[in-house]
Amino acid sequence: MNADTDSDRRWLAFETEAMPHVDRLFRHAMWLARNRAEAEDLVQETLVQALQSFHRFTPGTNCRAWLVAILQHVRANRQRKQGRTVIDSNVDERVTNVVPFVPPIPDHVTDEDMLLALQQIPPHHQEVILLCDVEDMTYKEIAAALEVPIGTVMSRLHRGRELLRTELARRGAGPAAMGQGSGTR
Amino acid sequence: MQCRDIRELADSFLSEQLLVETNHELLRHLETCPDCRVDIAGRRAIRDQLRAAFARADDLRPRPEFTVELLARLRPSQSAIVIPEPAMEISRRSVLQSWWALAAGVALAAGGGLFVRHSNSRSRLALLAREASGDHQNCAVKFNLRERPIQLEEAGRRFGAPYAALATFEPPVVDGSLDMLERHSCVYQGRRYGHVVFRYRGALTSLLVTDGTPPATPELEPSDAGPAVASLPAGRFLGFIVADLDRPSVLRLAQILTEPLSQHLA
Repeated sequence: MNADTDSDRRWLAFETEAMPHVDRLFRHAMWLARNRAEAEDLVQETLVQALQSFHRFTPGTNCRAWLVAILQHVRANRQRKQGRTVIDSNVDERVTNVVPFVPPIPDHVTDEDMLLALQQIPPHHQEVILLCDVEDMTYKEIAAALEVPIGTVMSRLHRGRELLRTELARRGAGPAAMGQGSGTR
Repeated sequence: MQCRDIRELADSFLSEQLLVETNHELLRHLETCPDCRVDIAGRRAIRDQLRAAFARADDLRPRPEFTVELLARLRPSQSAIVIPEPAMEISRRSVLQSWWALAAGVALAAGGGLFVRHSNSRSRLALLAREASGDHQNCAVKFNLRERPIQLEEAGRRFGAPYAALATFEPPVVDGSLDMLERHSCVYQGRRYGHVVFRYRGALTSLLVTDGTPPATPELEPSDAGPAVASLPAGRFLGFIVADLDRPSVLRLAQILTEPLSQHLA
């Protein structure tokens, strides 16, 4: 009876903590995978692993960040197995060279403009922007999820945001600038 | 701090990753520099819109039945799969195969599914109500928590906006006797709560808000010999009223608070 009770409690704790994040987790997976079946499989495997290691989750901490980190690991492992790892260690340096100035921040941007612009920037930068700006993860959590140093997270975020603004401006999403002051460099 | 410094720190400022002192210095600069204020506001607007675009994008939305299917696959096998010892690790393929077999059994029982779901949801609420009652007694009554409570504003930054919203929630005056005593966010048995403590009809009363599926309407929960507990919807969060009062009074208070609380947390 105790085993059943423990098992029930464990399940209820998992269901209450983790399941409310399925929608956000799926959106993240869908963005990364670009394929509904693959995204569903990613989320399922993420929750399988989360359930297996739920005893390691610290209650009261950010459960969504914990789940997203597992999802990133699951995806990275799959890519490694499939030989699809993108080795692009110099991307930050190269990007520095192709961002000559910080463009004016567009005034009116539609959701579609925003997501298309995000899609145009390098995947490493997309990933960090999503984890930081959409998933609200700390630099430390992002560094752990992506297995990179915190400094890399910061530089990717900085370049990524600049690239996003450049892309938004390039798409003509409204040249009227809210941030004309950004010309100061 | 100069404008150039602000540009360098803008990303960390937006992500709330600056040290408190640096944050204060930056804010002091913003008070006197309209250009930097505009720049930061623009960056924040892009971030907010990205967040909103992501949340609204239809093509990123899961199928409506996806979560239910996931639950059906996860639930039956959970007792078999939680095995902490690494030596007993089971290959993912074999685990998934056994899960699918179990899930098939669940599918066969789908006719009774609605009843089972309702019953699960009731037992979950009853369990959470017991924990809420424990938080009331150990936090509001005995000040006996392991972890120190934190400000609701800080909880809002770290764990979600509803905690911060609770900081400004003003319960309507009920029967002329509702005195506010304390607000904070606390953790009891691993669960985080937004906790508002007030005195109602002379009794110490807790309004607790936590992550969880809310009931459709306020309901009394089983409370054995302890304080009376009623669950209530708090927007899309789960709320509880706990007090050493008669059960009808606690239910009535929950009914009165439901609408203003839900509106405030929406």
